[in-house]
Amino acid sequence: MIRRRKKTDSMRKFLSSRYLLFVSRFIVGIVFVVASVDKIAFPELFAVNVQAYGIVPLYLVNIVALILPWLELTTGLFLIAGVYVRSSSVIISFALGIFIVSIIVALFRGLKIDCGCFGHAHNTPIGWWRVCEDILLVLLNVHIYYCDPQEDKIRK
Amino acid sequence: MRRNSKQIVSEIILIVSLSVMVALIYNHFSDKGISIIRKEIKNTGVPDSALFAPAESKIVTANARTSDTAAPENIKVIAPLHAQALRNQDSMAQLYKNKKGPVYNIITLQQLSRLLSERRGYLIDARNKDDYQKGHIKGAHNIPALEAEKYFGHFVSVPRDTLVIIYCNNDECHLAHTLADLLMQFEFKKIYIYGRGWDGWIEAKMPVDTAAEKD
Repeated sequence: MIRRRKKTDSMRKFLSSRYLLFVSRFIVGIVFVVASVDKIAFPELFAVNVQAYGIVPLYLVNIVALILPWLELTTGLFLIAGVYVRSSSVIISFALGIFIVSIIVALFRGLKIDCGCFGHAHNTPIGWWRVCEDILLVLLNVHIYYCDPQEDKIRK
Repeated sequence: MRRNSKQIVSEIILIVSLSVMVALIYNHFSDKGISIIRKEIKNTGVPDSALFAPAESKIVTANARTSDTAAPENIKVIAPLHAQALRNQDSMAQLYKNKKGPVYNIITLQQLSRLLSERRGYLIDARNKDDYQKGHIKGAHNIPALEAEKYFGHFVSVPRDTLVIIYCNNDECHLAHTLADLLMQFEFKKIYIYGRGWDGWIEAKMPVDTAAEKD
């Protein structure tokens, strides 16, 4: 019993390591910053990507295409800088959840569309690999959310 | 714990508001900015009679009726308004005329290849430079829709009543429509979009050109 507890404690210590947390934050942050740049530069092309999924009503397509990239950029930068870490990871996880659902729905509908994940500069078709990537990013976010030192401070 | 979630919610509201504000301000001042509400694109098919001379397309207009083209007396005419319909070729455009936004004329692969074989029209590839260099329709000029402002010089010497045909990747691609909007502002009168675009051209196994454009 004591040994198991010790194991859990050392695991928690490892996951809460400053360096490991920084790596997770940096990976998620940089992915979101890179993903946002091209979409911000060419909103019309991103709007076309959004529209192609056929999920968002036409009158909301441009609003999503305008705001989502900036949200990605802001949260990505905050994660890298270590500011508002937990709230940024919540927003990113929520966005990733929407991306995963949208891609799965499009795959089941048999749509052969561009993912739009990284904007026009990196054209990539939708596929299960994209879903796996997004799930991996969600897991990193879970790590960031639960092991962020802010959480410990509040618990204590 | 409750205090913690309250703090997270307020931070989320702050981040979202900040992003919305910056997005709207940037969009307002950016030259690549888009409208907040997306407009529905209204496409309309183009009848052959609008592109080709009536004699070539074997269309008989009301005025051109002769004794051999007129319906024999013993045959009941079932479409007496046909001639009237031919005079209003672009009837879909007529339908749309009271609604806001432009109506785009879409041509088919057959119409495009016939126009090209007759060497008519100014063909524009609205995709980016890289895509154009990988392959394009022979004779197409590359004017990337997203950098169209750099290509003002191309339009200066082109008469405004020239038949202009624009294409991009496929039906879902907006580049051709974006460029068509710009050309409408330049008062070009005959703008047509090849709707199926480059994908349609490749699917139909039509000849591809990879030569770079001469400046």
